[in-house]
Amino acid sequence: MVLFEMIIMGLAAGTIYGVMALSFVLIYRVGKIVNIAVGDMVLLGAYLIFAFSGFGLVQNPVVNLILGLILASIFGLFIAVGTERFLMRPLYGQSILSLIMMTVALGMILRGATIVKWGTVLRVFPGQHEVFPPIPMAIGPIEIPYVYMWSIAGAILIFGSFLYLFRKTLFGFAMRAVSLDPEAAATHGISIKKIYIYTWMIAYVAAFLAGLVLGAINGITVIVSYLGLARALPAALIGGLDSPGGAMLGGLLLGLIEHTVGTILNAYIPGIRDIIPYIVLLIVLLVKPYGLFGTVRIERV
Amino acid sequence: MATSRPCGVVKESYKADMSFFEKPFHYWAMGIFILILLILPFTAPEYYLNAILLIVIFSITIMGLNLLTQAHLFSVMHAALMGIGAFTTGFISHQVPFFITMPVAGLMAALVSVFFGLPSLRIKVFYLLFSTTAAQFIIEWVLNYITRDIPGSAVYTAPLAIMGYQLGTIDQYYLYLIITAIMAYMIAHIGRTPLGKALVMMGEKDYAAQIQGVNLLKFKAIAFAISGFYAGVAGSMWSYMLGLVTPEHFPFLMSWELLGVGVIVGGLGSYVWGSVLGSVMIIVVTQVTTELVTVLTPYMPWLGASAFGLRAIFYGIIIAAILILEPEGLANLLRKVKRYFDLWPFSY
Repeated sequence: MVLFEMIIMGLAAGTIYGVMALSFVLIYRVGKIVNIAVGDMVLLGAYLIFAFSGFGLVQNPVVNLILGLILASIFGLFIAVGTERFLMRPLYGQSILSLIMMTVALGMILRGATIVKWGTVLRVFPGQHEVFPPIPMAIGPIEIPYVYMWSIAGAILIFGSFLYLFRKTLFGFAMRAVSLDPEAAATHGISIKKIYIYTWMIAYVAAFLAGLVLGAINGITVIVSYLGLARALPAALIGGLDSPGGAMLGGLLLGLIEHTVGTILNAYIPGIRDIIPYIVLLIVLLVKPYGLFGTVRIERV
Repeated sequence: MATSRPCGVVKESYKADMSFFEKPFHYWAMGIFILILLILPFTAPEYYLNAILLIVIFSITIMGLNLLTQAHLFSVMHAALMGIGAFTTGFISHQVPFFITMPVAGLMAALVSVFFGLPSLRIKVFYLLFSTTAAQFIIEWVLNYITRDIPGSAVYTAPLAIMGYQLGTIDQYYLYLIITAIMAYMIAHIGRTPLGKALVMMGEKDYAAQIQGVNLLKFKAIAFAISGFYAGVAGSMWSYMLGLVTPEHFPFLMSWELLGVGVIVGGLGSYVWGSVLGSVMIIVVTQVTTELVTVLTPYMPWLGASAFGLRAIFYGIIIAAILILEPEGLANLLRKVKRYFDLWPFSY
């Protein structure tokens, strides 16, 4: 029964890893950019939601938090435009190292800005105890913390709407076209710049949602940024770097491994749970570098 | 380098063509630079001397990292490798003198570096960034795990001494300067040997390099070993400078600062001057933000504890600006200035 509960917990936690991995994978798929700043985007999201829900526009704490998330996401759209326009666009067509280093610079700026604005004190969301009660919620014999219910609901919402957008609409079609061949897409009248900006917008919104959940689990500090990076990279890699569906599956698998293998090993080697994601990352890189659903680039080495 | 040769410079032998100093002026400039370094400790206050020591230490790590990055083997585990060097020194420095601990620390770091670098044969470019990220966190965790019984996880290093004579800060500065000079001389020569050329070629296209007869496994391992050795020696020097080491001294962020500010801003491919400029940049930004915060806090109290954040913002802006305006790094700026004065007063 304990194992069963661990599995459920792992899957629940995995949903939010999947959302972060989605944010990462999207940028990679469309813009071919390895976004190291994903953890810092999550951190910024947590702080922005904290700030916007701190205004207390609505009495009900749950509605207040959701309103905070929506306002933060709207703010995030502007940051996305700024990121794409001023940091990424001057570098398109340059070497992959330049693009990666630019996302590193973005991450440093975002993280530094949050530290300057909010300091290094541990913060909690307003009304944390009403929205995420410390007593786990019981569904039959299984007990799940309330945070994970939010995580599952948010993941289903954002993943469902993203998949609909990506697979069924004309916009998603344009996005896939750009990801396949930017020049050919441009000759057919698709504005690559707009697609890139929209991609960054979706990535920011997904990261902000992850920020809400991670901030609720760990409290809002700089640590959230490392946690975000540590979970997003392996999850995205397990699924293959350019598959949104694989990202979610990777997230679920990572959550499962962390909460079963990690918890069991933790009894023998205290503290090993913190580096389980990295060990998974190394193993995946050695065994199957292109992941479960990733495009295999044929290279003779 | 004999890449840009202005008119009026005629080389009569291959030896002259290969020499580091192209013109008599360069000898003079080097001499003045060394003189400034020698008299620096007597003019700068103690507080700045520590910053200069840090510049020296970081520049050694960045030299190794620069060599590795030149071969397109991106590593973000160098802070952890420095940590390994520092901890090795911390554990053995009470028994053996520094000229044994430093190479041993370097070799330990080189071993770990090769171990985590071996996947590079199978994975490329940014996948390697992922695996070294994992390596950084795993090493950090292992260091924490080893020192879990020691209060504060702090390992104390024996003070730096030669034959029972304890070295003061200024003596230490000269010693570090000599070590750095040796390391810089070595890395500058590695860049011109077949090994260095093979590394550059691997950076361009590794299968093309293999067709030309470069043994990829061997050369990648050698690159990681050299780079790890440099990081280990730097970590050892760090440990002697501070007198104690804890795992918190070598965080993930430092790795990114080394790669981003040290290598990219300093100048990729310019092993000596690029590395020195990069490490100067890292320390100068740290010092400037610290003093800025100290000066501004009375007027803006909310700034209080945010020197760390302000520093990250500055680093980010500097990296972004360099990538957009001068992708070759500060070393290229130096080269441009040099070229301008070579041809002065004509523009070409």
